Amino acid sequence: MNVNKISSIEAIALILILTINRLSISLPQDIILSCGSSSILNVIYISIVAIIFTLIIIKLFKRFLGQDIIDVSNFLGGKTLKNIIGVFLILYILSISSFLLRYFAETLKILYYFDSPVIYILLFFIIVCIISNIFGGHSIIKTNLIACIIMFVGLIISFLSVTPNMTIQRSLPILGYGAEQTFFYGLTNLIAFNGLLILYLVPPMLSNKSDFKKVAIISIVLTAILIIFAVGSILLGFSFSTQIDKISSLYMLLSNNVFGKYLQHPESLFSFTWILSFMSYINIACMICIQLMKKVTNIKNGKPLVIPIAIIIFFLALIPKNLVYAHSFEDTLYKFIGIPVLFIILPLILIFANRKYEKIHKNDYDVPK
Amino acid sequence: MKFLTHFRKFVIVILGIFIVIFAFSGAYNTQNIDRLAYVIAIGLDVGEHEPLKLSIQLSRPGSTKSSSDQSSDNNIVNSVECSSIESGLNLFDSYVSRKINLSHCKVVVISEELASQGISDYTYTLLNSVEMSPHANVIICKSDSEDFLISSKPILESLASNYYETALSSSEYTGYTENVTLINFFSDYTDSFKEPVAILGAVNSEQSNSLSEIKNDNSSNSISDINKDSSYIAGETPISSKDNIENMGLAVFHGDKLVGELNGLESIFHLVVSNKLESCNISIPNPLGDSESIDVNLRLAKRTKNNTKFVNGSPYITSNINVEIKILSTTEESNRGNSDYFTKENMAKIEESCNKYLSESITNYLYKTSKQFNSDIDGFGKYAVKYFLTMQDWNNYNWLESYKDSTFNVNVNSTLKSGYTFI
Repeated sequence: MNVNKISSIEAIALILILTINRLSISLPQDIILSCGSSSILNVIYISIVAIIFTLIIIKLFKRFLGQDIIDVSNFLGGKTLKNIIGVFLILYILSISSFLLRYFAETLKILYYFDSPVIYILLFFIIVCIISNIFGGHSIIKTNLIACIIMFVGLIISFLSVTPNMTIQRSLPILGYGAEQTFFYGLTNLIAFNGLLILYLVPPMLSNKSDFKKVAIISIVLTAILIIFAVGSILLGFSFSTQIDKISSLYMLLSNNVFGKYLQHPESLFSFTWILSFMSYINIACMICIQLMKKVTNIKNGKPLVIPIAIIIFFLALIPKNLVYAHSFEDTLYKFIGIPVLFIILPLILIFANRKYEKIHKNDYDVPK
Repeated sequence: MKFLTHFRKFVIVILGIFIVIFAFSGAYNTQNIDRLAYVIAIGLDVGEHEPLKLSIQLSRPGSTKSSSDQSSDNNIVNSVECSSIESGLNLFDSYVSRKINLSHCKVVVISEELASQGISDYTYTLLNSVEMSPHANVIICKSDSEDFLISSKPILESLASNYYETALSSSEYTGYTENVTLINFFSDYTDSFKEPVAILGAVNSEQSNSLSEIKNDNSSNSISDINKDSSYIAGETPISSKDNIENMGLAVFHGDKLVGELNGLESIFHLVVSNKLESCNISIPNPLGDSESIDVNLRLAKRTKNNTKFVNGSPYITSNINVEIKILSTTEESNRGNSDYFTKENMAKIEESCNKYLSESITNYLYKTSKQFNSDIDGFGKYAVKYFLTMQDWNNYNWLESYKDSTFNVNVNSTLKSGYTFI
């Protein structure tokens, strides 16, 4: 189950799928509710910040070609730091994917499977996750590429379809709830770029290790485009988007929009691709946890870990009482753990690792500066 | 060992398939056409003993044969007094012995009386439903909503649901009303720079003719004199067909409360100002004197350009309208001599007459929405919001309440394109 020869496009899809699934569920609404009419300004602002941040990460990884954050932690603080970061990332990925899974399962239950117990819907995803992870990482990554392309194109079409109903003035007053809310508190919306987590883990997986820069820049720009489109179409298309939190942004977009006389329920068409992409997301979450566990525990065969990890995801997904709790848990994790880890702790590790590298190699002239 | 690995995969796949099949087959609780009763229209009214009188029009399964006699048989309308929409639907569930399903509901009919009290809760409840289509039309009925549903007798359609779909599409070429859906209504209601409108509907009864006669006698306004055929509202048109529904005009809301009505002609002006007009026929004063008025087909030549400024703290609204007209009516004189409609001078006179008539009429209409209704149904607020930096400033200004202080400046530029076969 070694995943160490993936192409650039597969790596980009790996990063994008994380954002795509959050975009379909709650992300655009969360941003719009927090910033109001200045949401577009806010997402442009956080996109610029995220791109600058990505360029910094690329620069920091330059000396650690083909190594991920676990390897870098090992270099910086030995086994202790490696284990701490590894375990922390495993727990974070497990919990965030479980709560997102529960949120998605509850959404499906409300919209389509109102008579089916939520446990069945969860099992549906867990079983797929187990089977696909047993088959191996490469099949997951290739399937993810297909799901990601379909979802990416589908989302762009959905967002563009709202254009005739858009009222540009809904982006006014330009500062929304105020400059402070847009530019200072609004920085928490950086978590929209949660796909950056993969960026810390993807370098050893790349078949061509020097493609890291290209992968990082393309994926972050595509993520920014998706987020700007999503927030723009929902904010400008529906006046109530600044006041009412609907169950799913994509569902709201599709069910409230007209796609001509012959396509009256486009949301049903999209739900199929939506489920596929979410399956892909859970498969990847499980696969990455296995990769991390292998690194932390130094085991070679990750297959025995598939079922235990899937069971953990399943049971964690059962913890929230309902959809509201699942969303609240997910939101809290993103804001209070995701942002500090992704944007402070991991970059700090990279910065200190670079300094250590400089110290060690200060007399060497053939090492990258 | 290899056999064991393959066998394990096989067992996992089979197990997965079985779980999925059993989980989603739902054989114990199928939702199909034999167990569901499809609602095609909902009526909401004020109850006598309960806050709400809920009426539903059900589709009779298998009733697709076309016949005007059959149409009334296909029309199953039931009513119940209840405290809320959901509890009313539950009562219907037990009565019709099938599960009531709203996924094919085409129309929400709300009585004038209920609309005057406020319909916010009902619109929120309906849009919260997964089944309810946000594209159902919203009709404000001048009579009891149950009577409205009972009177919906399709003459040219075999299915009542088709009837509702096609009946409202006439607004595309008459402009006498607007195709307002539940999501449009809700979006305008929650908007901070626009107020909602709904389709105005009524039952055309025997009283309609007498009402229209009284109206014609009392009418002394020159604008409505010229366009008196467009100046009716639903329920007052002098059409000979009795006890059938008609949709004409618009119901104007301030917030969630009904505050007034617009007749057919005013609905056209609303569509012109808000850039939604496709095509309509109106009459304009004839400057050449060969007849009292000229009937023209009117379309927007360019998008209407609206602008809002603030003069001494009050809104000053400018509307620049560009229309193109084609002459429909013609007389013997108009085809020869000085009254020829298509000489350069006469064309200019007709355009001038059209500009004057439309700018006066539209100004009157805008002052009516402002002074009488205090309802910005044309969304001028969106041109004012650019002057505010934050939502707090905008909310403090309270555009929707300040609209009544507006002053209007309407400029119309019409271009006479042609007639039809007579030139």
